[in-house]
Amino acid sequence: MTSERDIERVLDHWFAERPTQVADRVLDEVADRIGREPRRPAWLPWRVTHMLGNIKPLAAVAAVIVIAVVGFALLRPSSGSGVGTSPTTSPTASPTPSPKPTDTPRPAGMVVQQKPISFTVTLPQNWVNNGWFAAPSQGTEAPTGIAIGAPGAINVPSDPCDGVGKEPSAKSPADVVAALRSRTDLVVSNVIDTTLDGHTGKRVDIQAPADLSACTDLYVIMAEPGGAGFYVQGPSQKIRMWIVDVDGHPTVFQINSFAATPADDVAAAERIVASIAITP
Amino acid sequence: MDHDLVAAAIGGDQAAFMDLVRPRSNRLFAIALQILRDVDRAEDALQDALVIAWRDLPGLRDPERIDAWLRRLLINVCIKAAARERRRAGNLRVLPIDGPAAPDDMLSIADRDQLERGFRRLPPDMRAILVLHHFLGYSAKEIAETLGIPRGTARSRLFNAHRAMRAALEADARLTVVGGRSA
Repeated sequence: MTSERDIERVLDHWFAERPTQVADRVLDEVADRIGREPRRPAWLPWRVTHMLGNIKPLAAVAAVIVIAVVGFALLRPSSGSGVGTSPTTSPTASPTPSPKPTDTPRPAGMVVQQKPISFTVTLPQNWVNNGWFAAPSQGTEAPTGIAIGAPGAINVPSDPCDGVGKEPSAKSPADVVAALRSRTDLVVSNVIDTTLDGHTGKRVDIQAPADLSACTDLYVIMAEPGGAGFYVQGPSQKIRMWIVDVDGHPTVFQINSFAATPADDVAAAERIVASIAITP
Repeated sequence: MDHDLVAAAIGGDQAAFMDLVRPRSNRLFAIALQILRDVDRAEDALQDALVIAWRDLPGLRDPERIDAWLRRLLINVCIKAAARERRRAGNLRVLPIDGPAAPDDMLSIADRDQLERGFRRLPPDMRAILVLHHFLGYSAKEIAETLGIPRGTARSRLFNAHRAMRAALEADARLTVVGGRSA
């Protein structure tokens, strides 16, 4: 080997494709491991291009977009039987309701194991439907972000760094509020009785800490095994949360914002939540 | 088809995830093998990368870029594994990569041995860049996208990797001449 040789040409040749085949046992092991591997909660799971790629033209001409989010647990995985037996859910899967003509298509292949619900809200023109949450153009993150959504989870881990969580034990909106109050890192205030589309429950204001460095990864508010839940998008995030009883199941809707979020957007978010129609 | 599988896997369908990664696994394994130069380590890296992919899939921001995302995950796992390997076993005897080599009338066995040793002396991130460029045929732009670094940085790192490889080969040649054999 000499320096005269063209190193690029030599390396091209040396790296030339070799026939390689991964052993079946490697993928078998992967399949086994993912069956035991919890997933992160995801507040931003999909880009709009994924969820709405085929209805964007409609969205462009529509003054309003109707969101249909089917299922408590949009992000809960289908991991075979045994999942979805939490006290807040029906132990038997029910068929997903037929989509209404204005419904946003669910992502293909999504499996809803829990008793499904759907809700519809009316969005202002500059808000984008991301499937289970919606946000205006500035997005969800600090310092000016905002979003409305339904995380599909009610379990509040006692440890904010616990991105896995556990199956929920809360039986009522009051139980969820109690779990939030037990988190000393959160400021929980303005707990009031409320109704949302005729469903009774609690409304509560939450503020996340200004310093999120306690967690090296995600700073979690709600998390359940399988990925349902949400984590804060920035320091001092404000969360207005509605926890209402839908057929005996506590169900969470929320507005996430920050102190610097434009007041008009906060007001718009309040109107969006007020427009909600829940279909058990 | 893949779009549906990605969506289903994001939604938690493990079978869909396996259907998604199975046809990609040989290619991913080949990348890991090229970086790590060891079948066992490459298998471990592939497994770890796919498990991380499963865990983090709900956070995938652009499902259209699933392939680039998987490669990026794998390469990061390989870089970490290679770094551990360098710390732990810097003086291990060099063995040729498993599997039959491509038909080759350009490089002698001695050349290949020298390349192997030179490559293993490189820092892990340089190994990865050389594999991306010479094995996958990536441009500096594509390397930048895969590794999440600026394009200019990718270009300079590729240049530095070539220079380091040349230096490693020259050092190896000197060792061979002085010692009659190399470690």
